[in-house]
Amino acid sequence: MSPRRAAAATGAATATATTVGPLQSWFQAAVVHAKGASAPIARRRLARELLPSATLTAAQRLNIYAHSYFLRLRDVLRHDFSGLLHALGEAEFDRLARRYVDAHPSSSFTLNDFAARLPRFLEHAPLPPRLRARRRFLVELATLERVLDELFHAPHAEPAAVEQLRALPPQSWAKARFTAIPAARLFAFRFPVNRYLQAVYDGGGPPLPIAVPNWLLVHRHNWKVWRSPLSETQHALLAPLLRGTTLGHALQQAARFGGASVLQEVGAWFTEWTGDGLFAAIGVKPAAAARKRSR
Amino acid sequence: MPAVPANTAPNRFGLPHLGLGLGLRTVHYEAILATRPAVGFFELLTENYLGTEGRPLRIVEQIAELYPLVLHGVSMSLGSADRLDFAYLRQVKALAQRVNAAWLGDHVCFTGVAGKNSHDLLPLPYDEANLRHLVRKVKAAQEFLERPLVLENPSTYVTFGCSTMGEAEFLARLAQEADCGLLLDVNNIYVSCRNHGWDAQAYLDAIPYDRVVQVHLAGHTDHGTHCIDTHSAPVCDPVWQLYAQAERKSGGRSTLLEWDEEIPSLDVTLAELKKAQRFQKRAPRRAAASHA
Repeated sequence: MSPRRAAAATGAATATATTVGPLQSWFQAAVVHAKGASAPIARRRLARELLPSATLTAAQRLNIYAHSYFLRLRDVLRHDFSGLLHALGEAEFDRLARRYVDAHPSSSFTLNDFAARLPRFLEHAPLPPRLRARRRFLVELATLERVLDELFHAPHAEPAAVEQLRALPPQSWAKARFTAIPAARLFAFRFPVNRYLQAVYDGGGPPLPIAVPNWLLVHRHNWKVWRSPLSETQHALLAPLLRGTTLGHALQQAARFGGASVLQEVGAWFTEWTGDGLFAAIGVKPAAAARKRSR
Repeated sequence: MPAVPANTAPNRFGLPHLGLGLGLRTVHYEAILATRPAVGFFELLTENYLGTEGRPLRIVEQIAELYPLVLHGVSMSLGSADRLDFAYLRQVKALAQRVNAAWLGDHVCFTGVAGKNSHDLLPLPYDEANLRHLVRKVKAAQEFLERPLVLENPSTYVTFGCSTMGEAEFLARLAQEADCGLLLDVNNIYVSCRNHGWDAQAYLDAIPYDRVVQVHLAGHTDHGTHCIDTHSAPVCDPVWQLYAQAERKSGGRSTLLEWDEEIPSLDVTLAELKKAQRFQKRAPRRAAASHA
């Protein structure tokens, strides 16, 4: 059955949908409300719609759903943002989680993307005075943690082999282009969020750090997401390259930070990055042009 | 662990008896691939493998080479006033084909309305309007998926004043009128009967067993005034007793143990699952007697 035919079939259900919909809308509104059965919208119809049991009032029964709704989504956030949880503390994290859940209720069949907007939300979320001055660090930390989850689920592409890199003739290096796998991101952070996060993972209970510029490559290789600190020069080389420029242009950018010595190290860097599965394609033609020509 | 007891009465859909199975959980991936335990099948939580191209999907493809798999979803939201989500169903269908799922199912519930998803199994009133609505959506979903759905009775915590029939009657009529299968969760029966003061015996008596394809076992949390379906503990004795009756009445069904919180090692979950053998071994003999 095609979706169109099936949609027509369920179109016949719209009459029943209008019958069952209002009660579902009320129930959902009560369940997702922070005050649960105490919310005005819940109280308005509670006695009419729900019965007590021998041991619980109708409000207590409704609150089983209301409590589990928030706890389930909060636990997703706690799981995905263990570094941020440590930085904020449980009480402040839960306040943030409640605000986020209220502002961005899930509309997807999966929870994989539920936390996608948390880093941006954190940019303007209310914080206590002691944390307000640390907002930039907190946002960067949340950004990193979100990316770890995003790349875990990202589309797969077979990485280019080191042999492909070695097969590139020296005279072609300047024109060479390197296409990153979809599961790769590059960062320039103001705060040492990767070091902080690792300390949390190690159970070290790190204090909130001061600003120290740092650069990070995050990518998935062999189905694990790796965090690789970079030098400023390496970042300056990879950033334009992963935007699609030629290696020659990227090297000019990197030379501003690393000077002429970059040329002596760049071969080893590319061997390592290629071996670590960072690139999906290596060649002298832009990937998009190659695809277009093959059609 | 023997996969399938002999001499079992078939379900009306001709779906196979897969024996005793486990809900597949990420913490057990490596142990399963390393030890290849004697389990009849694994059940995937469907949504965990949609919209991702990460490691879980790769692991599942490996496990699919070794064991039969079934899909068990939580977001089909069949009871919702919203229309069916065909983009979602398309992905479910593709996953079912990819892992060669023996069957696929979801719950008798709604998970959200007006485009929202609570990620909870929200209860439906058991009345004619909801039955009509659910039957139409289940039929449409089955037609799109090109196979019968196997739908589970949820644990519920509220009673709607507008309900006009019991849950078991609602399930029986749904199964008959939508021509779908049932997944009988005996822990959910226990939890809901405790929460609502229902008679578990009457519940089991009202189930059309020829439509039961699978049975779920799990633990729950007893708060005294009510029970919550947490899947965080071993199966309790009253649930084992309900399972024994369900096995006797059905003649034996594919049985799966769920464990979702405070998940123990694979060995512990396998030991818990193995307890079901006692009831599966007894069931065929009694079923044969009742059919004589």
